Amino acid sequence: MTGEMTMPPSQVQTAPARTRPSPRTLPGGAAGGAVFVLVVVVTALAGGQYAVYTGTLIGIYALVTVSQEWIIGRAGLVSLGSAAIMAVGAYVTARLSTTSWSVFPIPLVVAMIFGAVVGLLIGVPGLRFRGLYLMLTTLALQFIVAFAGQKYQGVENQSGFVVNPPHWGSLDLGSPRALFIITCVVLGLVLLALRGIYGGAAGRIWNAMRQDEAAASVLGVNLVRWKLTAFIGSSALTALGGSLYAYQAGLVSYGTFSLDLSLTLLVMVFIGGLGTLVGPILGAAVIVLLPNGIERLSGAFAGIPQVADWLSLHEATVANGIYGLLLLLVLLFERDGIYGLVRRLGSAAAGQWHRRVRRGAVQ
Amino acid sequence: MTDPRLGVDGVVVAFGGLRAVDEVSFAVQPGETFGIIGPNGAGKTTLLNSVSGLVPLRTGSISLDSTAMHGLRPHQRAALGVGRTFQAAEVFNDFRVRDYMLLGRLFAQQTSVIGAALRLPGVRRAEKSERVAVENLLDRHGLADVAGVVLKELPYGLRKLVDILRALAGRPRVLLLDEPTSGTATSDRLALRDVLLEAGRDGMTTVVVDHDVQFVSELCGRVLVVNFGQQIGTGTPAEVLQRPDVRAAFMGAD
Ligand SMILES: Nc1ncnc2c1ncn2[C@@H]1O[C@H](COP(=O)(O)OP(=O)(O)OP(=O)(O)O)[C@@H](O)[C@H]1O
Ligand SMILES: [Mg+2]
Repeated sequence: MTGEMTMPPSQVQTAPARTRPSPRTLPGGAAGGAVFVLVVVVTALAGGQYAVYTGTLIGIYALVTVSQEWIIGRAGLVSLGSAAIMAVGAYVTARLSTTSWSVFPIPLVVAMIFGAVVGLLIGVPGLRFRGLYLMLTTLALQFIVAFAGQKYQGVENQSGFVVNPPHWGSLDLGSPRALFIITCVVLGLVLLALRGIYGGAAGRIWNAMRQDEAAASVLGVNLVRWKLTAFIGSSALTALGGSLYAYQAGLVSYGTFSLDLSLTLLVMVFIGGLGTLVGPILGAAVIVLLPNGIERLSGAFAGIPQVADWLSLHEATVANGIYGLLLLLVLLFERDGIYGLVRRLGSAAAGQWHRRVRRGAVQ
Repeated sequence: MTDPRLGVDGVVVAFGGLRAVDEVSFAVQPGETFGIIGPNGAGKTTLLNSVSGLVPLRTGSISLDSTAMHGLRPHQRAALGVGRTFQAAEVFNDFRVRDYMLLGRLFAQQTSVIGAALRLPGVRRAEKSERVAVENLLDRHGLADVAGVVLKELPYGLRKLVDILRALAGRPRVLLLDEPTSGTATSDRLALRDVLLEAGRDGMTTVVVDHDVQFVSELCGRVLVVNFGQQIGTGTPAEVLQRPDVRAAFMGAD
């Protein structure tokens, strides 16, 4: 695994010009947190049915994209199995929801434990393999879960397992608004925890591993420990996302957790921007809002039925096309993703503002 | 005589048919600064990699004080006290100077993931005191203003210095330096030399691989000359550099 380390003979180099600051910094915590809390509180108190529903979905997918970014953006490994791990969390939740273990938040915790075990299982091949081969082992997980899910559901549960709403004794937590709040609180806690992790020694260790595994091991990084930790932690949180998804959907079936979903989530991590917590959340918002945007677009073309019909008929295809296009644009032009673009535009705007202030144009 | 700090004994490292390191033996005493010189491709980096545990030995043994190290993984050797810098400063591009320095002190750090996730006060305090230690260290070397600069944006000579300070911050029992002066200007070399001289005065045991024979001569009491993986001599810099075979090996190479 450590293999060889050939280092090219170094040439005399001059200092490169100072470019923009590295994106791998923690986004302004207090400000980001305040925006998050504000959006959640306003939506919870004043949001309509649609806002609450959409917000819950974004929160659930954000939990998954943020967790996947742990593996991809921090540890520098790859994984194609996010939907499969979500499925594990969702099945666990569905089954527990009809038992005496259904009290909130027991199903969520058990889902995380199962997710952690699956993370360990896909992490072990990850110790030997990198790149393409690791991707293939996580792809295998996807097929295994589809197969096992189908067998598990059997004939009597062909359309899936029903999920009873979460509850606290006799208090029903299954209303859309309660689910929204639960999702946002869970996401908020996860973001806080990850900020704590990435901001300390563990964050530095993964950063070193991502840049050069062999060199990191020479600095004292136990590659086995830290790769497994990334897989286990990320999978536990992904399964937590699956658990919330189960409550939100009310029905769990293997068809939902397809390779297509895994790929979409993976693409969104890249589109949102690696190396930040905000990026994957933006990516998740795109997953949820884009299909809806296409629907509205077809509504706008109501006057031209051919276009409107075609759009609504091919909504998924159009969405996939746009994902592909976005990914290509990100890879070609803006490696730091949407969040990098937002930040760049933000600092350009701030610069403009300062120049205007200096010229006295703004009082 | 007691065990040497670093003992390299009959080490052979081969890549396929190429014996990049061929029966090399040397011993470095505690507090000594030991030099390794040789033309391009002589096997110097491979020799350091064998001490770090990055390449397997075909035969031979390597020990730190009395502990046999072959068979240990690189991070275990680092934990025992093998410190290391890299020939190419570009190995790590994407760190702020202060974070890279912190990485050098990995063993002093709280690495509990759960503790960090829960933001336990103990973990936060430990992180804070590590950060203070690093800021002080940077300050002492006049690097306080670059603490927040990303490594890839530092001038090359400064990157080499930061890499050495990072390795020193881990208080290794033996420090392996791979071409500390490559790509640096004369003024950088003076700064590097001063840092290494000071470390030597503090008792650091160091192995320096370098192309700058004068730099090595100034720092090291003894040097080993390698060519085509084989050692062709060990002695004081003056002795070794007078030998005709050594001069021949360097002819045209440097
Ligand atoms: N991982 C590897 N696989 C195959 N051959 C290698 C590997 N690493 C080094 N070599 C070969 O081993 C020989 C010694 O290389 P090494 O990098 O150790 O030399 P060096 O003395 O450090 O050279 P330089 O002065 O250029 O840094 C060279 O012929 C090199 O091509
Ligand atoms: Mg070399």
